[in-house]
Amino acid sequence: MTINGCFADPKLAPIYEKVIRRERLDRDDGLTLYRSRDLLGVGYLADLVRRRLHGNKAYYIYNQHLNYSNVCVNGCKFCAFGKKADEPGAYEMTLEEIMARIRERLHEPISEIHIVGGLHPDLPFSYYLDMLRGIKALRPGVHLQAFTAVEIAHLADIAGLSVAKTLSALKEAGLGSLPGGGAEVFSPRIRGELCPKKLSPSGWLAVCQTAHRLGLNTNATMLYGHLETLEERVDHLIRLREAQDETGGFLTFIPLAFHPENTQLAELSGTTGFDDLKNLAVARLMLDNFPHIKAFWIMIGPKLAQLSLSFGADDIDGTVIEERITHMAGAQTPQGLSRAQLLHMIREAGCEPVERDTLYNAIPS
Amino acid sequence: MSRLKVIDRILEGRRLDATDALSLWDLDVLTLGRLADLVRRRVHPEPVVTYVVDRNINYTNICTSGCKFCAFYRAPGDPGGYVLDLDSLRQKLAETLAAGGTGILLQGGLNPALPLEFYENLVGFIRGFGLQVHGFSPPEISFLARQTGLSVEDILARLITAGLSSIPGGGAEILSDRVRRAISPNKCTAGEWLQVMGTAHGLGLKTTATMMFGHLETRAERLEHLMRLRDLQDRTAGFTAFIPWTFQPGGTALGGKPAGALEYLKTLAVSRLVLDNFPNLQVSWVTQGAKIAQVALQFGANDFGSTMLEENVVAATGVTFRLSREEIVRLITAAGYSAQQRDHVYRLVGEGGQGLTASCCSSKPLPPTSCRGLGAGCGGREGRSSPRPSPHNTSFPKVAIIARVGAHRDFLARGVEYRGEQRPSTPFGEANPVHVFLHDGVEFAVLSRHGEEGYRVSAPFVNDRANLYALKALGVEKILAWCAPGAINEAMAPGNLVAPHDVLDEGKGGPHTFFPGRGQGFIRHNPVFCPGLRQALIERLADSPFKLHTKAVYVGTTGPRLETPAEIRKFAVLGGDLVGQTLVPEVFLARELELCYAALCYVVNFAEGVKDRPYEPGVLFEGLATAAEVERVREVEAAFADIVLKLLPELAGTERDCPCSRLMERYRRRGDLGEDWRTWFP
Repeated sequence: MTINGCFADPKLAPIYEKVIRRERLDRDDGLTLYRSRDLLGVGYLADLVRRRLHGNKAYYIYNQHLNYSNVCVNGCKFCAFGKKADEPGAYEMTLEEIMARIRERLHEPISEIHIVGGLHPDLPFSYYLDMLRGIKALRPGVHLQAFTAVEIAHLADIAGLSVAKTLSALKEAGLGSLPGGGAEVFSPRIRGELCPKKLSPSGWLAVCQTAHRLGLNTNATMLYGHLETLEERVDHLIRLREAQDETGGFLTFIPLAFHPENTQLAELSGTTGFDDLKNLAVARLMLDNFPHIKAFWIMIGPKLAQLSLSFGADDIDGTVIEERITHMAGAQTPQGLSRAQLLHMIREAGCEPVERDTLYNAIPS
Repeated sequence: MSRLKVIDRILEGRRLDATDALSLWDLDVLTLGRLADLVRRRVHPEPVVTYVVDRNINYTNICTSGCKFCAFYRAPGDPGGYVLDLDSLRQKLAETLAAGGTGILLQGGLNPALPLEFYENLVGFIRGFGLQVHGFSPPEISFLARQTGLSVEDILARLITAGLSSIPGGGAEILSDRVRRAISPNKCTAGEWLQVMGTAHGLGLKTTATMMFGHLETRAERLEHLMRLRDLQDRTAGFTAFIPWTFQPGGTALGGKPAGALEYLKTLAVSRLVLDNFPNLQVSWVTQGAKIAQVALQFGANDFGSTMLEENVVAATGVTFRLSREEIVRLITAAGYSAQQRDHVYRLVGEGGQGLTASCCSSKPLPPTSCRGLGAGCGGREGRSSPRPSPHNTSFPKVAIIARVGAHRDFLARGVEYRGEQRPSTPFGEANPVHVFLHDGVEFAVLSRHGEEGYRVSAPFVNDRANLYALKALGVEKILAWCAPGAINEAMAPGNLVAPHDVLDEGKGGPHTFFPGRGQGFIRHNPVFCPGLRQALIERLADSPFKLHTKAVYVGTTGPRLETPAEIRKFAVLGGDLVGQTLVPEVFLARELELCYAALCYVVNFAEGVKDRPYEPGVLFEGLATAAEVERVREVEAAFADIVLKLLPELAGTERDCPCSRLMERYRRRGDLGEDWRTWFP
């Protein structure tokens, strides 16, 4: 006897059949998975897919985060990071300050610089180009994963260029790929309520797909655990899946757990462990054309990130120093994990740690 | 044993041996979790997760044990040592009650400066607040036995007498002497730990069991721990729950890195699979945090543990997770379970308490406690000074009179032989003093409902439960309630005696059941008053100089205020004859304790509006009673002791062939309540 196909929730059995036959799951399947109380059953299905794609491997990256400015014109309700230019706590780094940050960690084997900021109304396009060029000059081998699709659209406005031309200019200056932020939840209802000024879902997808066509990979995210319904989550995933069918440039899907503290939605509760794991697992099952699912440990804590490797995730990000966006929203997780801690965490989960670069090439140790 | 074989055994519901269990660790975490969840659903088919509202109180951090995994203790003489003072304790208890708490998890260091009386008084003090005491892990009991030279059984019996409700399973660490020698050489041995628990179970105490893992022990040693617990549970069935948690190295001599979430969840699942005779498994959110604790509900756990209004021991390692009751309920609910509050012995509290109890707790009924007679109720609170009858004059009163202020003085004044005062401690707070008399070979007890001086305790603040519990603890079986209502029915004039036959409960007052939120007490009340006692007193008072009414409906109100004219008109329409503030809920509470209970009322006034009476400031009843009526009432009051002494042989001699002594029989048959009533209230 085995328990492989025996589910506490019998509704999972037909989905198990589909997973075994490698059939695409539909919207109803997505909802069934989200609604199931059988967390381990859903996890088991996701784990089947994850093992099929990545075996025992668990990826991590040694990267440096850089949040160059928190000044933002968008004022999204779920954000504890963005500030108006004249608000206390607003900051922007000069290019000199940015280079100092890069220089102070030159001795570390960092393979990626991850750059995200607000939508600054005044900084000129040259600031961004000079930032990329300057960093590349200091660290020629490093991969620059910079500027979400929302920032790219904003930079295109500032530069007075098309998105494609803006991306090309940035690519020439050293841009390697785009992080996946700013997707939030695609539902027009949610965006009207929480971030009406933000780049629209079709705009967000257009920037990503333009990037893909220019040979730039991007990631994709979903901010969950605020006002969205399960239907809206499934629709978000399906829309990403359809875009990926067209351009194929998404590398990694990263669900972002909403942290209510210090946001305009502070009355909401944070996500629970069930929700975090379920969301990763459903994403792994629905996004059959995404190579990677990342459990961003800074969002959900190292303990849950470790467990997530059994729930569909194959990547737990990396040694993040100075991550500011989530911590301003009250994340209780430590600000950095050492490589030794990370390796221990992965091995205890029964996985083989693989240090990767941005494009998931293994970095020989 | 191959991994498939062990899965077969689990699916077939067979017990796992040590070899099977060891092979469990080779399974991946999801398979292990799904197996444990399968077993959890066998034990608890209902999707319910329980939690307890309590407070951790650490009465001292001074400890001679010096365990290497502990960051909480101070050695005697070290700076930073403390023993909790009474004011802080009182404050903590009041906060616990305010938070809806049912008990205290009471633990402390092994402090050689504290005598056994300290512990007894502590327990009595806490019980006085109506809180359960889940207290003293085996190392503390073992230490007390060594300190005092008493046996473990004697120590436990003393603490049970003082009111101890159950024992927490701490200090088990790993029940392997190799490990214990390495991490806590001064703490009790594995054998001693198990012996304390076995003895406690034998005395009727429920206990939990813990395991602290993730330090020096091997997985085989964890299994040794589980097997030893399972063996003892086979013999005693006294464990309510198992609580594994991970060693937190911060600030400890042992150091190292903590076991991760995976190891925690796998160990939890293995525990559920091996401990097939443990009813409950508890998550450890204190060490794992809210997210993993919630996920642990799919790895075999069915209990979220405690709200722990305060936690000091794990916090001393720098790990400080905090969860409110609301947050615990939200986590349970978000995981698809229904959240239900329980007490320290895993009985449900609040709505819907009837269903789960039996499957939650071990089906084996509680054995009666070892305490007999007076011992069960006495002691504790007043320490050594409280008067106790010596063994040679303990023919306990079977009859009690609950009467007006200072009623015992009427018997003292008549020279009735006085056997002394009793102040049994109760789980429901402080009872009024009980005075025992002997008249014509019949012992009887007298308790003043409203206190012994003035009218110190007005009607809504009488602690009926404590008073009745105290009387029952003394051996009382029959109660005559003497009370002074007003008359709605004009035929019942001031100075008349009335033996009411029925009750209309119009009160909104205090605790009206001994079983709040527990399901018991859904019992029939017809006749409301003991038919045997009523018959006896009616026959005996036939030739009384006072007019006796043998039927009346007594309307119980809250007080202390008197009723309004409109209320009295309403009561009259409803068929009420008398109105008063004392018999309700007293009569119903007495019946929950299966006491025979009858009331003898003497009318003190006409109720508001029955007669047209002008308002007279500054006098009793403000003019509601005339001087002539007051005079007649005084005559009856003066005759109180004579009336009681006249009734006494009848009351004492009545056979208890009424239903009163088996009013809770249904709950006994169902296994909810044990044969020994003392086991009804933890």
